[in-house]
Amino acid sequence: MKNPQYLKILFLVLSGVLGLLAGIEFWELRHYKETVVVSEDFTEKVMLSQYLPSLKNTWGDTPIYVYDSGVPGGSMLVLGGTHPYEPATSLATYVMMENIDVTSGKVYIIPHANMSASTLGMLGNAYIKYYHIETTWGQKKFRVGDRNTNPLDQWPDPFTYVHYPSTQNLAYQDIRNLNRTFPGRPDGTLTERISYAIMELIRNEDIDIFFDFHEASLMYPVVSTYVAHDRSMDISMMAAMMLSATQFPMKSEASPKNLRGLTHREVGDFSNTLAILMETPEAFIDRVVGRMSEELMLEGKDEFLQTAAEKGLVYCDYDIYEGFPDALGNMIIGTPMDYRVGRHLSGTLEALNWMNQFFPDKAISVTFPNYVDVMNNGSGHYLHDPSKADPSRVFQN
Amino acid sequence: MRKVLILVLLSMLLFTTGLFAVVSGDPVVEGQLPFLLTNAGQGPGGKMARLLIWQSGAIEDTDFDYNAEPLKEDPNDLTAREYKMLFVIIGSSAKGLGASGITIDEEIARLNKMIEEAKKLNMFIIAAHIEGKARRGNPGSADEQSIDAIAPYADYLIVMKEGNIDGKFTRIAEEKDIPLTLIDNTIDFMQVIKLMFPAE
Repeated sequence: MKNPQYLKILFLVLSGVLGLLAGIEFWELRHYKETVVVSEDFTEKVMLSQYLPSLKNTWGDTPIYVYDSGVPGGSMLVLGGTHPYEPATSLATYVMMENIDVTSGKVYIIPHANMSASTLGMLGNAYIKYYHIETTWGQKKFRVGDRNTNPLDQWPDPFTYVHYPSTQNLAYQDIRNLNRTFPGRPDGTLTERISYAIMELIRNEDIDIFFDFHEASLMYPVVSTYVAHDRSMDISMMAAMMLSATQFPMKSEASPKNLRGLTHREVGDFSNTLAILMETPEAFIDRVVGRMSEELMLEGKDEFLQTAAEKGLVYCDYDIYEGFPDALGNMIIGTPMDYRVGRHLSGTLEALNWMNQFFPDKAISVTFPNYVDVMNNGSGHYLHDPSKADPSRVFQN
Repeated sequence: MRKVLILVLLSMLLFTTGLFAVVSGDPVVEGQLPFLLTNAGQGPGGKMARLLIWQSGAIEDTDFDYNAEPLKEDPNDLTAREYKMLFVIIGSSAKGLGASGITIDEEIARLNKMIEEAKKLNMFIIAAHIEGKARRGNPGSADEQSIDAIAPYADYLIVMKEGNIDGKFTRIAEEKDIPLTLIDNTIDFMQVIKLMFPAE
């Protein structure tokens, strides 16, 4: 039996309405801006396109916040949001940016290393679009992005991704994964160009130490770990041992030489910097978890993951009922956002401490809230009210 | 900021004086020089131990050699010097195995050969598991195979308490009559080294 004409029109209109509603949601996330109130030590904001002009007016361009003490010393670059669906990384950079005090040396912070990827949720995973952090002056809203560059900005993916310059074959979708495209190339895909621009920043500004913040699923062996380039191994090993003894469990792994495209390998190989990647535990991205709610993102409590932990299938401490004690006596229940943010902050400070000891000529003197502060007061305590701040210190990302 | 200062001071104290280092179990054995430091399972523990030995300042850099994979290519690795001790840090890492391009079975075969050779040479074998439960796994895992390949054949065991939560090392020590010294944290390994090689 043939469908009457009006039924076809009805379905066409219905599809259009559904597409419009979905489009509004996609548009909202793509254009939502996060606000940051930079600390008094902030000196300037530059765009990544300064290091590769072809990024200008693309979604690959992203702000770099510079804190120059004016006192001779080393330099540090911190990346948050290389994988935006690991949001403790950007939040940790915001806490750092709003509170950092630099007394010697120079600090560069990129809160959204892959800006394009932060404008889209994980397709097909029913992800939340935003999460909210309670502050002393109200709630602050942040984007939860994707792992890879938005297909609106780079598409289509090839059948096989051949990494440049190693020619190693990687999974096809990793051509949009910023942590598989380093060291990048100036005439490559958008993601390769972002990588190349970050490399140019590191080389041109002679960055001494480089941190790439990440979060990992608990069933991934490298969770709660520093992954360090050969030259950074001593720093990361000493920092991991000190953190484990005094604050929280931390491991250290050497960057494999035969897995290409990752920051801890390529940034170290293609520049003089000391490259370190850090992973915190993020239950939200484990494959076995139940409903992917904002609560799961912020608290990290999941009964299916608990079962996996009880069967010895996770690679870090995890208990959603009793919790586990850190070295300071806090009971960590699930994988709360403050725990993850604090880990990145203290992970950076401890590594800096060891860099200063091993390489006194590169010494940097900085302070910002650490694990103890964030665990005691919450991340939101360190985020300032933009409406009461000096407008020259308020920026949007 | 006061909390930061306290934490930094605590860390410095811990590192510089070993004040909070806790070493328990059987008394630390007297060390012999020179020794060969290595690891079992391709984990980063060997490099961590080397770093802690350097930081301890208890011995000279030239008093020991580090070799990540003895006997892999050179059959004379254990006789390159007149080593008195073979110091094996146990712990496996997928990244480490991947980086070496070998399987855990190949690693275990090399470890068996290394232990056999060390026994022939009458080397004093120390097995150390210093990274806690991060380097323990389910039965049959790379970590457990590495432990089983080394610990029962050692003359002395140094183990981080957290890595002995199931009593595995205690059982091995009792069954094989091997002295077992326990440490609270990885960093306390430095204190063991200072006790093994006291300043004269």
